[in-house]
Amino acid sequence: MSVKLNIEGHLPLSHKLSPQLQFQGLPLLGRSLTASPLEDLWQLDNKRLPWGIRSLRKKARAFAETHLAPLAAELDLAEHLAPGEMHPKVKNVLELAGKEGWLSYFMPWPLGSLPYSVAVYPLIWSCTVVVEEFSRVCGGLMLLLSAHHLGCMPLILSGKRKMILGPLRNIYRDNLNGIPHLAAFAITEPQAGSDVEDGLGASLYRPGVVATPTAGGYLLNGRKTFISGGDLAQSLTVFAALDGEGMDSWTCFYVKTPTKGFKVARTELKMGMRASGAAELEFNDVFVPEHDVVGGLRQGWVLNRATLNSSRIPVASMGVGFAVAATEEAVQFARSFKLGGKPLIDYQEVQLQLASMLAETRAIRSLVWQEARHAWKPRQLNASVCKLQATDRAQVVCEMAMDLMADQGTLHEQRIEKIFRDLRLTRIFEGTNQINRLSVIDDWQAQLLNNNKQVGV
Amino acid sequence: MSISLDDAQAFLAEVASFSRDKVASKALHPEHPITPNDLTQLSIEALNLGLLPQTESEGFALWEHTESQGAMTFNIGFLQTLSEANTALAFAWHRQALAMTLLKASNSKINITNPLDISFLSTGHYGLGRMSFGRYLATEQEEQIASEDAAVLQDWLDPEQPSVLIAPAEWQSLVWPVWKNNSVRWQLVQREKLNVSVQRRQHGFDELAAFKVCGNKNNHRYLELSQPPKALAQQLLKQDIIGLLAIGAGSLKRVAQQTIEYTAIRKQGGHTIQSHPAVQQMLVEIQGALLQVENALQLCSRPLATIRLTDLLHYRMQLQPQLCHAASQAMQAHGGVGYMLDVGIEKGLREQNMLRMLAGGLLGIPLLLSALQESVV
Repeated sequence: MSVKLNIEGHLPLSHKLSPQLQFQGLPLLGRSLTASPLEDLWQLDNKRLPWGIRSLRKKARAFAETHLAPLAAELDLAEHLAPGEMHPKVKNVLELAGKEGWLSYFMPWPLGSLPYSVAVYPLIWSCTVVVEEFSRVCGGLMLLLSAHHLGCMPLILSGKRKMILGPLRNIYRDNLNGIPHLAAFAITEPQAGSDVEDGLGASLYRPGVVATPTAGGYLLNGRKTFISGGDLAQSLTVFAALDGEGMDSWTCFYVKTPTKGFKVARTELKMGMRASGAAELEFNDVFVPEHDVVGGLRQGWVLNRATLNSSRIPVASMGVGFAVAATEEAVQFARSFKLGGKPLIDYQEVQLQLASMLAETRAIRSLVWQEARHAWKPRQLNASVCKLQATDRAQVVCEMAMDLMADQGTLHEQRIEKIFRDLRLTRIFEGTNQINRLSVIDDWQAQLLNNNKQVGV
Repeated sequence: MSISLDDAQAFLAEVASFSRDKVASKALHPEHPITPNDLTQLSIEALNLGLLPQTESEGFALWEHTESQGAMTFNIGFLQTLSEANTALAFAWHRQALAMTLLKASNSKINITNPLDISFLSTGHYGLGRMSFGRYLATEQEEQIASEDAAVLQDWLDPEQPSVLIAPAEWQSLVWPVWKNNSVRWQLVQREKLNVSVQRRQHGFDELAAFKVCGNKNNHRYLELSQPPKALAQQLLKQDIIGLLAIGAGSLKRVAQQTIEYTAIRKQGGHTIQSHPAVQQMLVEIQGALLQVENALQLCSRPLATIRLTDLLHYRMQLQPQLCHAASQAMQAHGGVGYMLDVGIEKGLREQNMLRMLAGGLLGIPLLLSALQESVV
C-alpha cells in the first residue's frame, strides 16, 4: 500500500523547500529555536500542562473513549423515560464513573478523589480539562456527570464543616463505592430563568419557591424547572426565599430524596444532551431540618453566584470540547470522503475550512485554559467572558463542519448533527450568553465607574 | 396555459386554507411529528385538489408552471405558506413536484395515487461539483467539457456513490441526475432496484426519513427530455434554490411569530423581555433575516427563465446562514424553553440547518459561482 506523501497543494515533508524536517539540520541554536518534527496537537498541549493536570487529562480521555463514546449514539436515540427511571447503561456508567472518581474529584482524599498532584492547581483547571474531554465524546453523558458537581458546589462553597463532612462526604463515598449518588443544583423557577442568574433581575423578582419556618426546620413549597440531573439526583441543593421576604433572603437547603412532599413532576424532551435529564421538581411541604441549611440563612444568593462563577469556566470548556469534536469529525470526513477520485482534504476550500475551524477551536481553548489556570478565586467577569465566547464560537465551528459535510452532515451517523444539538444548550444554560455579557459589565463596575483612571482591558 | 397574478392569489388562498386547516392542525405538537399515515392522507388530498402535479393532466399545481410572474408567485407563496404549517411536508412536496415536472416533460405517464411515492435529488453525492459543474454549465456547446471536469462530474453524479436522500419513509421511486455522454441526464429509478440503506435518523425534517441510496445506472432508463441538458440542469437547480429559500422563509416566519408572542408575555427583571435591548437586538435580527429572504423571493417572482442562476446562488449563500442565525436567535430569546421539543423553536432551528446542508450545501457555492462568471447564466 502506498503512503500519500503530501496533501494536494503542499510540498511533501521530504522536499527541499519544505522546512519542517530540515530544521533538524540547523546548528544547535537554530534547532533549539525551531520546531521539528511536528507533533500531534493534543500531545503538544499535554506537554504544556503540569504533570498532574496532564495525567488527569489523559485519564479523562481514556474514560471518555472507553465508557462514554460507545453509548453516545444509543442514549441520544433512546426513548424518553418516565421521571425516576434510569437507562441500565446510564446506571452502569454512573457506577463506573463513581468508582473511577469522576463524581468526587472536587475534593482530595480522604473526602474525594482529586489526586494531590492536581490539588495544588486551581480546581477549575482540573474541571475544564475533564469536561472538555467528556464533551468531546458525548454532551449528554458529560452533563450527566458534570451537573452533579454543580449540585455539590454550594456544599463546598459554604465552607461549613458539617456540610462537607456530612452530605458532601456521603455523596462522594457512595459514588466511590460504586453506588450512584447524584446531586443537582436547583435554582431555575417557572417564571425565572435569567432572574435567578442576574442581580438586578433578582431584585425585581418575586420568588417562587418559599421556605416557611416550622418546628425544627423549614417547609419548602414551590416548583423548580429545567434542573439538570434533577430526575436522578438523590441530593439537591435547593434555593428558596424565606416566607414573606424577597430574593435577598434566598437560602440554600440541602434536600435528600426521596422525601415526603417531593416529586419529580416531569422530565423535558430536549433538543440534545439527551443522556441527561432536565427535570421539573415539585416541593409540597418538604421538610428540611435546620441543620441542612447550607451556609446559613440568607446566604443563598451569594452561594448561587459563587457557584455560577465556578461553573461558567467549565461550561466554556464544554464549548471547547464540542468544537474539538466538530473539528475532528470534519477532519475525518475530509480524509475519508472522496470526490473526483481524491479525498476532500486535497481541495483547497476544504483545507481553508479546516484551518479556520482549528484556529477557532484553539483560540477558545487558549482563552479557557488561560483563565482556568489562574482561577483560584474565579471572578464573574473572567468566567462570563470565557463562557459566552467559547460557546458562541463553538457553534460557529460546528456550523463550519456542517457546511463542509453538506448533505452527509444531516445524518445522525456523522455525529455533527448531534454535536450541534448538544452544544446549542451551552449558549443558554448557566445564564444565556446575553446575561453573561451583562454579568461582565456588572462585575466590571468598579473600574468602569472610576473616571479618574484608564480602564485596563 | 398561464397563471395571472390574480389567479395566483386565488390559488394561494386555497393553499393557505389547506395549510391552516388541514396541515397546521396536525402539527400542533412539535414533539410529535405528523404520522406517515397523515402525511399520505394530506398529500392525496392535495393531489385531488390539484395542488400537486400529475403526469396525466394539466393544471396549476406546484412547479407545474414557471413561465410567468403569476406562476412563480404561486410556487413561492405555496412553499412559504405550507412550510409555515409544516416545513418537512413542504420539502417533500417541493421535491416531489420537481420530479413530476421532469416526468411530465419526458411524457412519462405515471399513475400517481400517493404523491409521496416519488422523490427527487437535485445534486450529486457531495457538494456542487466544484468548479467543474460551473464550467460545464457555462460552456455554450452541449457535451463540450474539459476531461478533468468530466472526471469530477462523472464521479459527482455517479449513481454508485451513495447519496443522502431525505424523503417520506415510503418513497417508491426517485428521479436523480446522472452523468452520461458528457452531460447531465435524468433517471427515474425504482426503490427496489436500488441499494437503499435506511439511516437511523437525520438532524431535522422529523416527518421524513433519511436514506443512503446508490445503484447501477445501467439498470435504469433515462428520461427522454426535449430540453437541452444544460438548460434543464440550470432550470432545476434554480427551482431547487428558490424552493429551499421559500421553505426556509416559511419556517422562519412561524418561528419569528412565536418569538414575538413569547417575548411580549415573558417577564424578566420586572418587565416583558421584549423591552430589554438584548432581546430587541435578537428580534430585529430575526425580522431582518425574514425581510431579506422575502425581498429575494419577491425578486424571484418573475418568469424563471429571466432569473440568473448566479443571483440565486448568491442569495442562497448569503441568506441561508442568516436564516439559521435568526432561528438560533429565536431560541436564544426563548432561553431554556426554546431548547425543549414541545415548544417548536428548536425544530425550526434544525429545519434551517437541514436547508443549509441539503442540495450540496453552501461551501461549494463560491466555486460554482466563480466558474459561472465567464458566462452570466
